[in-house]
Amino acid sequence: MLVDLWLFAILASFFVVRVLHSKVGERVLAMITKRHLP
Amino acid sequence: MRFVPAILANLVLIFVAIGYGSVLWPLLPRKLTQVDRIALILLGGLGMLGTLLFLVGQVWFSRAVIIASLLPVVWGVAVVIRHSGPMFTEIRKLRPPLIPAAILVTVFAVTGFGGLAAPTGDISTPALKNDSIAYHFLGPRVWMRDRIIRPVPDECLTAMPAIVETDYCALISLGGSRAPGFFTVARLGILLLIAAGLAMRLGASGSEAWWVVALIATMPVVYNGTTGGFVDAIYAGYVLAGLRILFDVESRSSWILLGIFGGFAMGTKYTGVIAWAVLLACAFATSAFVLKLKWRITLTKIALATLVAGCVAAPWYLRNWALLGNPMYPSPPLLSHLFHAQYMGEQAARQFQVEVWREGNGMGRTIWDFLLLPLRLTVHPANFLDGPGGIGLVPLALGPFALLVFRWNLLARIAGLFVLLQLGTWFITEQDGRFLIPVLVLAAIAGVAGWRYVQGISPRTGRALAFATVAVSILYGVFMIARYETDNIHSVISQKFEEARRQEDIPFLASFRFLNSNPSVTKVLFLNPDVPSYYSQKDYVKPFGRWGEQVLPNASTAAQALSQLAQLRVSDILDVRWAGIGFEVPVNMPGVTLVFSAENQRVYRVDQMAGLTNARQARVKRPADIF
Repeated sequence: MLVDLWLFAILASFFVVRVLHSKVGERVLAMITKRHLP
Repeated sequence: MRFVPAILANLVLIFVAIGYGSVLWPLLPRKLTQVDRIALILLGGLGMLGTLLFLVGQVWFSRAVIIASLLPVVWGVAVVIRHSGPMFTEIRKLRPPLIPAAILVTVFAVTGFGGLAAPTGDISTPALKNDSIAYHFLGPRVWMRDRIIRPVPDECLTAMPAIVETDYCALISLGGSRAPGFFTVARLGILLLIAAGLAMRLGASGSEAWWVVALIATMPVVYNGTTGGFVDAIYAGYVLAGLRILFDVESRSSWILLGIFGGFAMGTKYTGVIAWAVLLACAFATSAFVLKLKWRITLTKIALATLVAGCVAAPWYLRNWALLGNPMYPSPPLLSHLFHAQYMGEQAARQFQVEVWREGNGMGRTIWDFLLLPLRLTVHPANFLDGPGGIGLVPLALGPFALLVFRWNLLARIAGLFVLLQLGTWFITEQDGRFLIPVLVLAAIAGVAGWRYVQGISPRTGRALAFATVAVSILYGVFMIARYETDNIHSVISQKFEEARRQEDIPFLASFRFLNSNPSVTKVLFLNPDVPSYYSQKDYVKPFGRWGEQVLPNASTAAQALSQLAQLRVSDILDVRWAGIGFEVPVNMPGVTLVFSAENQRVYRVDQMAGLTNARQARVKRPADIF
């Protein structure tokens, strides 16, 4: 249902944003993009 | 033991507020619940006490005056004893569900412990800017020392309406410098009471109202605006009280009450003027579409409420007009063309407006930015002033479904109009997360209504996802609040940590300790605009404020201020190297002697004052504790 999709999308986006902004997320991103962390 | 006075002072203030507020009892609409009544009486009482102290303080503001103003505490205790039976019966009927009740207990416990921490902080750099130290607590300290309530000339923000800050005077007078911080518990409690009353009036069950308050209490933006010296929770309480009264407005007395709370909102923050305009628009809509009154009657009622609001708020604005040349000081752009204010020149006033505009820019001001606000406030809250931590997921995830739940509810439509106008005016003025608390309260109410709707149409997946959304919002909020309060709680538990924190957070602590403990120091000259004068227990002169205020008419530089030492009658000078400004007192300057120095800080004794200090010292009363 649309309602379920909407709620799932918001929950998922929250976790994606939180994880990407966390230290672990930054490390993972840095590994993927082969970027050196400061 | 060092925390007991702060806790007792808060208890006394609550009973005093009930004592004053009970005067409003006959004006309360009959349909109000006990929860509404408690909230309105507490808010009304705090407003009355703050306004009374302000009025008396224009002439004389001693500790005796403050204590005398607290005498209604006896009446407050009597009112509580008399009405406690029916109140507890109704509150018991609300049957708190276990989870939100546990969350609230946790938040209040953390808030209570953290609130007992001694205020510390810096005012120099934007990242560390601490409004509590800069002006919320500075004003009360200076007013009590000077025994009169006057704007502090070197800190223009102390000229703003200050109902809550004058209440702080009572708290500091009774319970010391920790008492206003502990008042966070009361501020949060009052906001949650008014929120619960509004939620139930909009159709929430008792259980749902508990979830609403749990969601509000764990919104980091709301919490940030409630802690320290911030007055935004009480301000939001006044605005929402106006809306709540509007929902059950029934007679002339209700319109008067609406005006009283609108006046208190304007007496708490300048933004109360905008909020009053928003409330008036809602009053028109209520009168026309809910009460279906004729236009002439509508205009009469609204004129009455506006007259009352104007009278209640007038003292603050008239005082500024009389003393500073502008009813709103520091001036907003529209008024700066009409009035020329003292202390702040045109350039400083313009610079202040530019700074407010820049800081309150949020993520932009186009129509597109406005439409994206719900998403951005949820996902990128840190891009807004005082926004870090955010508002949780519920307003965005579940709030939109409230449009379906409330589509035939006239009162909810009025609330919707309020949200739209309040959000719009916030968007085009200063986008500060704290200023949005009234909207966030209604967003939480909408979120819980939407939750109910989702449970109805999607009993399995939707129910689980909605619960997960609420759980994530609350848990993340509790985590952020706990992180925010960690250092505060640590400093309450450990005196060693408290001292380490002072050393780290209070600039020039060594000099302040030297000046405060030295009986020969009577009046200090602070040359650097970013020295936090809150920490001075001694009288002081600060020729330049951090917003470009120029206190001495003939001194636009430090050298010019130093040439007037004799007229300033200062006994000491605190000269610092700080915030990009070097030492100002020349080496070997005649007439001054270096008596204390530490890293980036020097204290000079003004020699010609030596004969005067002992005589003046007798007239200087040592204020309440800081260190």
